[in-house]
Amino acid sequence: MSDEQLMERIVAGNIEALGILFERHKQSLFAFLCRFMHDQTLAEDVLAETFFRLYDRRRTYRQECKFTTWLYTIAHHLAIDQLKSARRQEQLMEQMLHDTPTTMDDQGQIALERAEFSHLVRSAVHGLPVEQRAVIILRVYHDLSYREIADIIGANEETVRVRAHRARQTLKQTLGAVIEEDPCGR
Amino acid sequence: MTSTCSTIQQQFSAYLDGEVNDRQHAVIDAHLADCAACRQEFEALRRIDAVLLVDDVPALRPQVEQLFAERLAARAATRSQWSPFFTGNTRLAWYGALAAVILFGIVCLLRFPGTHEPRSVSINQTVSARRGHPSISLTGGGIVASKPVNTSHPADHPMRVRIHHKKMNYLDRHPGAARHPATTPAPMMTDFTDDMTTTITEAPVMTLAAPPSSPGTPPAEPLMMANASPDPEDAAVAMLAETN
Repeated sequence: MSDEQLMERIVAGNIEALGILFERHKQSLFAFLCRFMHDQTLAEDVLAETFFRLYDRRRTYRQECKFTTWLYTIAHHLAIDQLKSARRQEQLMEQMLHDTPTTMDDQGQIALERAEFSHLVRSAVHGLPVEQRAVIILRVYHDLSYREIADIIGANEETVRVRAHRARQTLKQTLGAVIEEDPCGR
Repeated sequence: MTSTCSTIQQQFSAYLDGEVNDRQHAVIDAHLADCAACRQEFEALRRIDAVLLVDDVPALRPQVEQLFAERLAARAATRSQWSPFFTGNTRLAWYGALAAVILFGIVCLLRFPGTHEPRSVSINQTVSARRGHPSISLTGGGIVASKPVNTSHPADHPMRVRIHHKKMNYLDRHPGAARHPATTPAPMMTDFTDDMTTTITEAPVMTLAAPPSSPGTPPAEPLMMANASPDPEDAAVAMLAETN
């Protein structure tokens, strides 16, 4: 049964269908929220809240709309609401400064463990402005088209194109030294 | 870097994402073949995507899934408690019934704003108990007809007026009393109550001064009072009629 068919059942009042959708999309949506929010605990909260918000607003779901687009739209809005806390952003900035190896500027080359490398990359992504972050995550990690990304974030395709370009430019500056020496040999 | 290189490099991200059309793809390919600087820039962006994909996201904790299942079960239990009343088309039926009741109430209020009362004069009268000189001060409105006119019957003349009077003790007791105060001494008006919101139930036909008629219209026939009798109360009523 497709996601859209399950949504029809949910609209009709079958709340058990929500559990099926949760099982299907939990890991993918959690990955998006982890990268977007850079906080596993917050991502878990928003993940559950996303599905129950979806259920509460089931009657606003349009059949012609792709289910994953609607799901990620709700998750994106909830995540932004969570991140609007100024104190949270300050903590993340401090964390990012702490994570950046000081030797990068001196040597331009570092050897890192894969976990540290991954953490660095995630910090760099989270350092992007919110509007660029969502675009690059949805494009690179979830392989969504510019059209789908535009529907999720509520912008047009040209805006998505510009934000994707600027995000990559920013990441090139942030991860420039890391790119020069990739432990995976990419 | 030339302006062409700047324009081409702005398309690199869309090129990597497969969001350029065939013509743009061909133009970029041709430029990359000839421009080393743009090739270097393009490779840097391509490596960004490769580096980003190194990021490993932790798996969802089992406790999260358990909590979600419990919360889902709680919502399902709450919903089943109210489902006979609020499911699907039943909810629409409830809304429709509620709307019908509200509409019916509005129609009733508009159709029946209040109880019908005879359009009678509410006259507050104060009767002076001075011996021999009854007086009436009127605070009420005008006299209006209170029933449909049937001109076939002499009693139903257009100018007939029904004055409702709650108490007519004196007239009841003296039906043949004279109606002209100048010829008949007035007895003490002791039967009237002080609060004179009176409603005359019997309808004597009164003589009223005809209203000024407009040119070309026949003058209205004066009313003829039946059972005319010289009586102080009749005089009061006559004064009332003349005043209006």
